[in-house]
Amino acid sequence: MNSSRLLRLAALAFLVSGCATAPNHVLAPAARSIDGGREVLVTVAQGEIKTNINKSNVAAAGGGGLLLALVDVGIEQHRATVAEKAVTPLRDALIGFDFDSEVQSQTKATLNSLDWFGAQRFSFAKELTSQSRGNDMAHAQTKQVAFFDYDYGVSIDFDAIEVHLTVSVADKQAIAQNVPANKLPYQQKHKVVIPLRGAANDKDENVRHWAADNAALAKRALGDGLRDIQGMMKQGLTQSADAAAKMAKGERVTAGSYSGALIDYSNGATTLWNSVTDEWVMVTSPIG
Amino acid sequence: MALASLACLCAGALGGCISDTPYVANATYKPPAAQPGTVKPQPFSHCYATVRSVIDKRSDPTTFGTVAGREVRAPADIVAWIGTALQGIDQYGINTGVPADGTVPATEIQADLVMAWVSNVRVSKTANMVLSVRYRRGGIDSDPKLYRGATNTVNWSSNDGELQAMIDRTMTQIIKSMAADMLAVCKAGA
Repeated sequence: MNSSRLLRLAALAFLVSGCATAPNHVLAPAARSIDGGREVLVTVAQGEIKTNINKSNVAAAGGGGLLLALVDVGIEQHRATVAEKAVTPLRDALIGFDFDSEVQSQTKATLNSLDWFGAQRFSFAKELTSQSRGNDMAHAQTKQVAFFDYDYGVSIDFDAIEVHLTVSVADKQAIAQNVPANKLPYQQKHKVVIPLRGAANDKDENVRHWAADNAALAKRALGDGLRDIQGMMKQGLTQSADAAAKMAKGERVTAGSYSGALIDYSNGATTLWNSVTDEWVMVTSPIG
Repeated sequence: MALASLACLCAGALGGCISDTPYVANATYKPPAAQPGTVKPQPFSHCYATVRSVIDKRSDPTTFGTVAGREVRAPADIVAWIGTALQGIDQYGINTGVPADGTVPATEIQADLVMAWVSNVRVSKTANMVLSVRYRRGGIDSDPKLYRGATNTVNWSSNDGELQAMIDRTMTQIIKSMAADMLAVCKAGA
């Protein structure tokens, strides 16, 4: 692979997975409207609800080495096996639930409510890689492209359902010139966590609750999460520089297993900015 | 596998050894090699099956997803791929086709591909496929039944061979479950 292609893929990778340097979280009023508007691409790069496991740190704790790395592999493989087996009843119960269509219609409605955003052609994709992003940028007909990358899953202990969204606004020219991600006009990560009321320590027991009655509770959690994340997305896109600065100095709060600077507290939901993961996290009141 | 793969696995987390070339799954299903010592079951004489229809009901027929950043694309004709997989049911005690003498009715299989996706959970690569299957026997359709294949193994380097093996193993689980159900019905009616 030649070096320019590597550089280009590295730049595009920031659009896929975020970056170490804090990206621009404020779309300045002067930069909100853009001639020709913005093409919009929505992605949900998964077929079903995802699992999540804790990272194993044996090698790190033991000073490294291939042997300890193998131990980590074994531990993580075991954890993944347990999680993937436990989630199956929920996946089966969710078959037929069209998360993808709901994501598209809600994103479209939210963006159409922001006149200045100038949302143009809406596209949807199940694929999200550096290459696919490069193709999306290359084929865009507008100067800027807005990406809305969603994913959803169960928490590590299956005691919550989470909906995630990364919003990125990219200049078509910038990608061609390998401009780093922290020079993107805008990027923000959002997460909504919907806890299960009375959750047990047992994954199987929690899955039973989420999956009961054709996954009624899980569907409600995903619907609520999607609705709440639209509000966060809108708030993020319209946030002023002053509000962003104030947010970083906000009161330190804890909600569930998350802590950070308080953004908002309303209707039993706490929204905070987690400086470690650099994302907005909303923890709603438990359901069930 | 050993050290090179492990080094690759560790580096893979940082995008080290994983190819950025999308992998396109094989056009035809290849059942995993039988373990030494296993004997292919003799087909049950009263059990015949034919494939009546296969429909892909996924919203995006082109992709299976990504494993550690490497895209895995579905075969260009996934309906044909499933068709070849269903023909593989003869590995598990079912005769494929229609009996020459016509004395035993063949079960017609109508399969809808509801889900097929791959992903990774940290060091693991996972695949899930779901077929919704109806059986027609003696002119009567059964209720649809969901068959899920799910595999989860260490992802050494997302190379072509291990990705294809994962996809084939996942489909094999479905074929085996279908064969078991059909055999039970055939034996009950024999």
